[in-house]
Amino acid sequence: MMSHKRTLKLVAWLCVSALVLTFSAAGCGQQAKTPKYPTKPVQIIVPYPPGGTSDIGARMIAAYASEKLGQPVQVVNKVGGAGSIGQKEALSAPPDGYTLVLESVMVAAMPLVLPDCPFELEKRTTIGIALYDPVFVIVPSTSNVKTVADLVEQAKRDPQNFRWAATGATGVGTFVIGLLLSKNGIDIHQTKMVAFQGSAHCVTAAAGGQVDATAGMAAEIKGMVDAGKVRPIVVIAEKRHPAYPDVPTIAEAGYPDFPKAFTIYYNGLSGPAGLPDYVVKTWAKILKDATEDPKFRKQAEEANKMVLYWGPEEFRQNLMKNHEMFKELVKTLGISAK
Amino acid sequence: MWWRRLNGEAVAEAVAMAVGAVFAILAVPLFSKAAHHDVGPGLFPLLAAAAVIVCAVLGLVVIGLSRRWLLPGRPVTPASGTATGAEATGAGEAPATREVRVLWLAVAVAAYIVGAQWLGFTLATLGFVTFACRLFGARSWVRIGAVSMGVAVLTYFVFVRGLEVALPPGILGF
Amino acid sequence: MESLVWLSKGFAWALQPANLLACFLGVFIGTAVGVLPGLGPTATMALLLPILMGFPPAQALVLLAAVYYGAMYGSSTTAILVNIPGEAASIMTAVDGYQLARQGRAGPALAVAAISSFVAAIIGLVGLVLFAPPLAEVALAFGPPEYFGLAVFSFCLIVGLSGKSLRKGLLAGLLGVLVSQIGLDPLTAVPRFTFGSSELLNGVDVVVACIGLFGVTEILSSVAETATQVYAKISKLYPSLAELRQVAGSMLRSAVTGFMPGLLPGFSFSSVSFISYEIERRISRVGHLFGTGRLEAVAAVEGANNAFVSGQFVTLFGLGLPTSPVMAMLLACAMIFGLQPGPRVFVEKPDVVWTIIASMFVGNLVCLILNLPLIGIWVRMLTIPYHYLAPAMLVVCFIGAYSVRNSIFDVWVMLVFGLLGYAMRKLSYPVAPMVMGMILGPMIETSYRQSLALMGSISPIGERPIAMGFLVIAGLYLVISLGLPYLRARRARKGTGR
Repeated sequence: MMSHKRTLKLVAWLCVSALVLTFSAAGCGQQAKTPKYPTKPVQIIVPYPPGGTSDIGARMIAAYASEKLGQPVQVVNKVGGAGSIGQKEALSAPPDGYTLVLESVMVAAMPLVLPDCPFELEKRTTIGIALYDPVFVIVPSTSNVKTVADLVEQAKRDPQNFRWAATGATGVGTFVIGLLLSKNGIDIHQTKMVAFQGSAHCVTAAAGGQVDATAGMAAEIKGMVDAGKVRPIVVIAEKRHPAYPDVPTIAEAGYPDFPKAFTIYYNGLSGPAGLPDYVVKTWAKILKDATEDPKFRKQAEEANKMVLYWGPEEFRQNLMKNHEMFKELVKTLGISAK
Repeated sequence: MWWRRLNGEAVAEAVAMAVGAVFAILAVPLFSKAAHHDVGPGLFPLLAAAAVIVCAVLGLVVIGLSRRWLLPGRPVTPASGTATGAEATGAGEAPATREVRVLWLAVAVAAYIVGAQWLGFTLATLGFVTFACRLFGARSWVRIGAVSMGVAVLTYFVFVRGLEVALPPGILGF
Repeated sequence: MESLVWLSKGFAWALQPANLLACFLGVFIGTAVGVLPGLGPTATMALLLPILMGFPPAQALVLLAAVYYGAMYGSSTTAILVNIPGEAASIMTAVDGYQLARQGRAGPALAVAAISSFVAAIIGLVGLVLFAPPLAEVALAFGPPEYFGLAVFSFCLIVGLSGKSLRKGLLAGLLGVLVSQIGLDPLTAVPRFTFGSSELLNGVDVVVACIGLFGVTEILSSVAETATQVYAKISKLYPSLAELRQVAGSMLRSAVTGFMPGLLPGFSFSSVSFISYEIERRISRVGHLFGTGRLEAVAAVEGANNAFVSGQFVTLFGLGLPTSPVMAMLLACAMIFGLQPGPRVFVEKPDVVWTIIASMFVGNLVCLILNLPLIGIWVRMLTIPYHYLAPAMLVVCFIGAYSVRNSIFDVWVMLVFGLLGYAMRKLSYPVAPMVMGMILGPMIETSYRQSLALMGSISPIGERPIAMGFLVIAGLYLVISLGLPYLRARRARKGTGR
């Protein structure tokens, strides 16, 4: 039989061990719930060429995130398939949080207009947005068109010779200008739509007077507007753009029902389906903090972009809403791929 | 072994013609995808493929007219002493045997590519350089080893670490 | 003139220690990047951008610009030494440069490349300073029909690159066109010739094909050779004064043949490489010897690609119009730094702009000073026994091909093209036209279809002077280059009384 002292020691030892085990079990449990992320560089795939507005957005976010996360965030451009190749690559990567993709509004249209679209829209984890680009419709400065009404009239007068530039079936210009034309009873297939590879080329074409109209982001048109080569006639937004106070909004131009989707041409972040919660939360926080960070906001202003935060849920809802909208539009405009 | 003397150009033209035909056949269904005011994605490939076929046929005609389907047999040349350096390996081999080395090198590169995905770029480089040095006639195993180690290590640090080129890592993690 | 006043101020700023250091660093990085095949200035700028975010705009942009033109100096190095063009810009440098290296004249070749790059770049920069605004307008006058004319004209240059057999050259060129059509149709995104493979959806990258056709082919060919001395003994390191005088004309001409295309969007480095080579070949007295190792050829191509860079800055600063992916990257970087290139930038931020322009003058000088002594080192590298050098070169090719798109598939493509190039060489089919076909095929097709969309049919092209100008020149060129040899042959036959 043990002495009292020994028994006490044993009990004390058992209690301490039990406590230690409980705490460490709790500690382990905590660790299992939120592993350290990231522990190596994160890649953001940009399915567009370097230097474009989406690319710039990605780089801004990547630079901000690198600082906050302590790990490099690399932007990798994977161009091709009007943006679908990069989507496919990113969405088929392992959902470990180390491969993300930057996407634009047009992703919601791709499955509808691309023959053999290589990815599925729903199979993704939406994370959020931090930036968007205001979309303008511009005309050559040599043109007599001053308002949307003038443009529509020009198109109505001679639809067969109305030339406009867009980046193909997945271009925002295709839908924006296409919609303006179709709402006024003009069949876009009767007009001369010229497809260019990249909106920068579209803007150049307008600047050179090769086409009568095109759409462009704030960043893309600034150079040409300043050079006096093109003139914006309307901004697809809810409020007028601070740099162009004389340019009316789409509602002011007479189209209050214009689809809201194009008023926020976002640079959105998504990942493959099944992304762990802690990854999504981490990035959502980064995006939100970025939109409130004064340095980031200043950068956005200088890059002619607007700052706006959407969280994962809001982003997904808007994505699906846009998809439904595109289903309608594609039918109205007659540009389905199938 | 008449096929050894077959005029390579004739083979090349025939292959080109076949390639042209394949592209032409594949181009035809593309015509249905034409949009408005557009000739569609099928026209240019078809034109190019047709032009290829025409050129190839012309080539075959030229060869046929001069009856050069088969080239006269090439005598086996003795060792050509053009080597100005010390190690004139290969001297004494028939040209045909030397040509096989091209095939070996190509196979080695293919193995390198496959190996890079399994073993990782760095280890695969080690193996490849070792093999290739031998193939090119290097003799000293010490030097070969040094060169392959050197290349593997250098490329790892300069490209994978320094320039962050995402070369394939292998089972060992690098 | 006001520009010159600003330029002198710019020099004062550019020579400040911080800016000068940025310039040096950029030149150094750029040269290294240029030497390495596959890794290009665009990717490098992308890598550097996060690091540079905290720096003042002038310094960051000076560095980035220096990376760009530094790369143009470096790209000639591997092209000349081992027939692997470091960038698409040096494809044609390899043709004559490598031959010179084999003849033991790598030193003079490298020196001429560097000197020509410098001379042409400076001339281009002078053009930039004096004529930026009106020249920038030229870019706007080019629409799809003009590009069509230009592309057709460039394609006709294949005639000059075909060597003895025009038919073989044409065949190679057409095959190149077919290869370029693998992937997604640029205008309708319809997959073409992809055989269901998702990798082929991306198409065949020209740089990867070049690494295969030039670099891998060369090494494959050499493994079958008995002589292990691929390179003859180095005769001397630098060109003689007489040789410099020989190439002076080429250098000056290259400044023009490079600068003008720089103004136009849609011109790629490879096109400039071909066009400058071909123009020089036609004009030079020793043109018929091009391909055997002429310093004039090296001078023409290398000068052109540096003048090209200067030309591109004209539209970037004059209109805010980027004329190539690298410039688009630079533009993006500029915007992130708060600089909006375009005519207003001269008014809003003249200090930054003129610092950059002045630093380009300085930077080119630095490049020259940096590259000339390096020649000694490079040339020493050639004395490494070939059986160690060749495998190392193949490793570099692997990395180069892979790094273009981070794709193992591209390395396979490189091997396939390497074998193809080997077969073509053995059977005397010219390789350069194939590359031209790969580059120009898409340009011709896209611009033609865009012109159709724009004008309804192709006949209105007659109303567009620039486009017609190109087509007419193309026609004349064909007539002259095909007709003259034919007439000469006839006269020769008549002369010998057959």
